[in-house]
Amino acid sequence: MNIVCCVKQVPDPETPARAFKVDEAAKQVVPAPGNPPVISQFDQIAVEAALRIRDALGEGTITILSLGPDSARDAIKVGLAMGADEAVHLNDPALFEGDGYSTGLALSKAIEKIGNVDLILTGRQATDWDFGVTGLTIAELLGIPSISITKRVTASGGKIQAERVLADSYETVEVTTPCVVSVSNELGEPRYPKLPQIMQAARKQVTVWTVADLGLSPDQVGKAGARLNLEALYIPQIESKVEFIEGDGPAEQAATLARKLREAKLI
Amino acid sequence: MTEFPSRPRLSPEARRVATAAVWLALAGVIVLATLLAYTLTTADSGDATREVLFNVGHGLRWILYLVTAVVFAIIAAGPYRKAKLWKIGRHDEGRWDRIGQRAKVFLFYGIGQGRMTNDLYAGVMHLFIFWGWVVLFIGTLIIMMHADVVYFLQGRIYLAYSTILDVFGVIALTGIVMALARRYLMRPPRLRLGSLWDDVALLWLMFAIVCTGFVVEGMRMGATELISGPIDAQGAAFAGDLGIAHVDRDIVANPDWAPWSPIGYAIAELFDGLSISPATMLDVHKVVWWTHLPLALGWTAWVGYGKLSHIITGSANIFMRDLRPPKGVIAGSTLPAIKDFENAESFGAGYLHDLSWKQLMDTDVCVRCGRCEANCPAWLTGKELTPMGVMQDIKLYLHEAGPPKVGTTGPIEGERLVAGDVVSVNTIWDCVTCGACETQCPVNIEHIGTLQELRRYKVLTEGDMPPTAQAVLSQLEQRGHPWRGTTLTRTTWMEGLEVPEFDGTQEYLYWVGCSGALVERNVPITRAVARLLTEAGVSWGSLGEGESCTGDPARRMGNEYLAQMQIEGTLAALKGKQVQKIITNCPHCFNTLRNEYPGFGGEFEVFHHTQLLADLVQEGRLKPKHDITEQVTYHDSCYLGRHNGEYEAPRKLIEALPGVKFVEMPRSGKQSFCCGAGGGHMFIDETQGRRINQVRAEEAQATGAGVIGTNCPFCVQMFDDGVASVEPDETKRAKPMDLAELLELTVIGKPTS
Repeated sequence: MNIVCCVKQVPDPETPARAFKVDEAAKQVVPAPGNPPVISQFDQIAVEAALRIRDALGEGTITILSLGPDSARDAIKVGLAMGADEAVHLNDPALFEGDGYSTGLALSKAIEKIGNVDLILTGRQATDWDFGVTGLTIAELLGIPSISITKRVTASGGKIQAERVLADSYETVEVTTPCVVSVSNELGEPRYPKLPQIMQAARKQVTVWTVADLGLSPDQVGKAGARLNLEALYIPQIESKVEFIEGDGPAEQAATLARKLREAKLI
Repeated sequence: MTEFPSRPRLSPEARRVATAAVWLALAGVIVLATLLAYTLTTADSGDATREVLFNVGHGLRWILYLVTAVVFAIIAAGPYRKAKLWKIGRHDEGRWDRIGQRAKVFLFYGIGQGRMTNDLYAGVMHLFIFWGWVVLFIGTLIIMMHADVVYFLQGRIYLAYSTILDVFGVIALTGIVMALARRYLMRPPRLRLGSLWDDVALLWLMFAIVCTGFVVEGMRMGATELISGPIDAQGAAFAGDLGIAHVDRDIVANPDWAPWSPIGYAIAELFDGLSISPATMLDVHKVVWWTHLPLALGWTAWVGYGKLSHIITGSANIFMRDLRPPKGVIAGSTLPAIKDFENAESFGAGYLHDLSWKQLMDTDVCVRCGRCEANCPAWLTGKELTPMGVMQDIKLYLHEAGPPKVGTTGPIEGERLVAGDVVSVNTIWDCVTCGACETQCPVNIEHIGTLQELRRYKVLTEGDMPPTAQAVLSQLEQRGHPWRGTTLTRTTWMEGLEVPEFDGTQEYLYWVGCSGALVERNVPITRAVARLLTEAGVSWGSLGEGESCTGDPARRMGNEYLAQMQIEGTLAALKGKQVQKIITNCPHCFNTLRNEYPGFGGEFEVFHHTQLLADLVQEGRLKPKHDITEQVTYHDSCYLGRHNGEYEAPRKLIEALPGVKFVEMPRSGKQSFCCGAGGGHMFIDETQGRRINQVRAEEAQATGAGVIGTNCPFCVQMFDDGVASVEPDETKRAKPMDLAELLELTVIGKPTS
């Protein structure tokens, strides 16, 4: 069974609010000093999902696939340290700053080039932009089924079974391969890498591809090929006003509160 | 189970005075007896002696020497066989260097029994048994010298000798009775692991040896000195064989000699009073002598085995103490580094052979005294971990599975993992690395190192750890600090303050640490130190965002790989700025930078903020002005106290606060009770039992103090939580405050906002 896990490296979502800055003119997030980027949380869980399938089947090849600059290597290394076998890094400036469509296009071409892929696992959404469409786009472009937001993925009898998270329940779906499955945090904690594996991962080869390797032209991918136009990027100003209701005791305070709510046309 | 002494234990000073008094008294017996013999003796004392091998046959000499040689061979076989098992362990540890320093350590802790009187009763009891036995043994050697080499035990020397031996026999007996009383009447909980051989038979054997010895003496005296009977004064037999000097004359025993052997005299008088004839006494003498001999030889042979072998192995263990940490500091403060990450397949200690030979030897040295357990915060709060239990469990398995492993490498068929099986997973994770075990152990067992090796195996080789540990290790790896969810940055604390950026020109680097910058409760402490340094005119600077974790939490949680990456990163940052002197906010940073970084090539002069602030007050550069009219108690943090030996400077600081009333907690100084945050437990959930921080908070509250003085960002958080948990009434709660905050109040007047 050949599995590809798509991982993305993102600015740390836990950057403290006061350190998070945005360059409104360039419409970009300013990297916060002392807050290095991290692997997107759901993508790491996708790698865990792949490992669980391989553990259950007793066989399988897991390839980490990532589109990003040099720093994305760290995200790739996390996947390799957890136990993935190979890695492909799409590292070309023309590919960057894309949207779900143009990034999905590049990733889908990479998956075709890897070849013989049975299952593509992604996180349900990246923890920077939280769009959640890249995995679905890959499926659409490859013409294969996709199952999104799953809490359990298994492979048996040549097919993929998945439990999808719904508002107050879950549904079980079975689908033929190849397919795309995106995973959610309900699937569980990613395993902690064992040190011998971390040391092995450092020695594994990462294949690097550019736009040309993918058989695409620069205007199809990255910012040039994006279908979404980012109008503005800013941190909203939040103001809050607090009024303490005075009064002699709870009964009077309640009466005053009720009156004020009435005046504000809230009740 | 979680009670603490309701009144202060005997203070360390009182214990020291009592110990010194006992030593002086023991030495005094020898001095006094000799003085008396040289001043009080009668005219006929010149001949005073006894017949060697009286009544049992002088020819026995040769048999006795032969049997003794056999006995010594039996003794030697014990440690020899055990050492074969220890050698199953790793050989990469050398404990033979610096012989001179080791000899001093042995003198103080071994012969001097330096730690025994931490429990005064047990310490005195052991001093009595120890010196009683040693003096009696030397007495036997003297008789041998006299009997075979040179005839000298006569006259005043003999009388002094007689008295000293009698008195030390009583001392030994007193010690043994104290031990028996302990086992059967007092029954302290820490002596719960007793064995029929080591703790019942052995004690009664020693009791019997002393008693039969006295009876033999009494019977001999009843047939000689009491009745002025004849004795054959013979000696220097070997010398005689060489034709040099042999003495063999018949003399008459003088009753005046008898009182110089008071116990023997009393027994002789007793039997005489019961109308037992000298002839009968001779018969009794023979029987009891032939009882006393095998008992004594049996005891001697026993020295190679069981609990008694602590004479040999305990001494060796003290001699082989870890000398890497600075003087007076426990071994567990400085963990050994894993050198090879590339090629090893397993890390830490999973199986017996993964532990070092010294760690395996530790388990055999343990005599189940239980002092470690009686001071272990995990055990005292109802958790699985007991350091004594860990040692005994590994020891039992070593003796069970060890023999077939001798001469092999790697695990054998069916071998159990030490990490997680022989020693349970809960036990491995319960340890808060407080160091109370290592501080109390009279034979210098290094518990923390062993537990940490097991932890390393779980984390590095198996990737298996409690979820809270996994979460914080991931956090440390991703973000370089353990405080997930913090809304602060490493520079937020500087707002509104003049904070110089360290650039190599200032004298001190103020290393704030992760807690000092990123935890809201600790920011006022960091700011207090900064303001005080500036107020005192100290040349200092801070690295701000240039700081990252020193590697301590990762190390204590068993992730040596992550820790070393962090150490190397921090070391590069420090060297890059030419840092030489460091003031740390936090004792954990202090310990790692001071004791562990030298092993990685980082030699700095490291101070904890209480040390530097105490010096500044001493020098008059900081002037306490405003009164602190509070009752203040002080919590010795484990990493400043036991791990680094600093108990004085913080107390000097407190005493410098005008108007303050200082009250010690029942468990303070070396006996301080951990706040519960060490060993990664600031972040890892406790497994069961009461929370350690709540138990310590209760103790602090009970002092009646209004303020709990702390020196550590972990401790202050633990007390904040603990005090609130154990005292629901807000108005009655003691306030945990760092000493820097108190100093700031008195020197500057109030904290900044």
